[in-house]
Amino acid sequence: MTNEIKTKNFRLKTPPTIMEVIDGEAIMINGEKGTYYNLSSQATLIFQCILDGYSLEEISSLNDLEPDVGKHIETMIDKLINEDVLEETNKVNHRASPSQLMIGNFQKDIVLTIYDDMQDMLALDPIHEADDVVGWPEKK
Amino acid sequence: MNIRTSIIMPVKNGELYIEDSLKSVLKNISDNDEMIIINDGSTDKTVEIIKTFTKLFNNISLFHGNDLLPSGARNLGIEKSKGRYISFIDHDDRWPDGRLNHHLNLLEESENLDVIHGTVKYFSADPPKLEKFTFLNESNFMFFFQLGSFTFKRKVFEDVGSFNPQLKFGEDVDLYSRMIDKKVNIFKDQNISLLYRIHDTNMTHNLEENNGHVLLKILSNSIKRKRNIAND
Repeated sequence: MTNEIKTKNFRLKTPPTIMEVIDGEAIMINGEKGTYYNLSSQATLIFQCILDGYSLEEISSLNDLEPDVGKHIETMIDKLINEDVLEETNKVNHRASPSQLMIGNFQKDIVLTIYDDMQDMLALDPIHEADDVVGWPEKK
Repeated sequence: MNIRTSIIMPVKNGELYIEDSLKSVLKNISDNDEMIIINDGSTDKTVEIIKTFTKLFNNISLFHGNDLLPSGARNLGIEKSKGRYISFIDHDDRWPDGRLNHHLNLLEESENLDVIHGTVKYFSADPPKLEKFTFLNESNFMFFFQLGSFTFKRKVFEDVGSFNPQLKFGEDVDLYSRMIDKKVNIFKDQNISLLYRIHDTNMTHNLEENNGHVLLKILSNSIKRKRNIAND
């Protein structure tokens, strides 16, 4: 795991992305790319910890993660950065208590799925108000 | 009579624009097409205006609902329709001349196509209103979810189901996602098939946060469908 991602804090990049947890799984839409994303339930728990201001290093240490699991999470975060879903932040505003970071002995169920089957449609909401700079659904 | 196309229009309090919209459809349809209007409890002069048309054209029918919302009204329209093809238009939009025949020619020329999806152009009788909005290209037309830009083979609704009546907004996105998940063959045609009017009372203009939630929920349902299809 590189120190770059391991020790940094991230937040949802909005705009262009909006996100909600539905039935225990995070769903995100990048309104500029028209791409949408789904995280498995375990990945969602980690994602929520990240959004709560905890670094991957903190999450890993509290959960005694095996190195390959940590690597897997790092890859997921890296993809989310590349997709403009996450961005680095210096502001840390912990909302979860450390006990809520104890997310269990997960191993492989950390799955990020990227969907582009409605890309041409989701990326194009033509009735955005021009002086409004928030994400897709919030622009109507 | 063998009905070719059923054009379904849901309306509630559409007195300002419905005449304009109906005239644009009348320029597109033939005697073997039918227009089905679902009035969802209008309290203005909408019904009065529609009746001036039903008196003149026997292929225009008016049905009444009460608080069906656009999804429910469209579903009632589908239920009442007899056409081999189905298309929709909202009471405040227009079809360009020749739009319907163009879509039908494409569908009849290629048996494997299920849906024609044309582009949408945005207009306003009050041009400054358009300046409030950003468009991705200067020509202001593009593919989008607006139902008036599609023509469907009837069997599409038998395959993917009708509109989700629980959705007050986003029912078009929901239908589109179900078509994608079911591998419905949608042909994208660059010609403009809908003129979408921007005005102060567009239903979708004042729903910022709700829109996001609805869209995410629709996509969540789509992901579950994809998993179920993959597991079958």
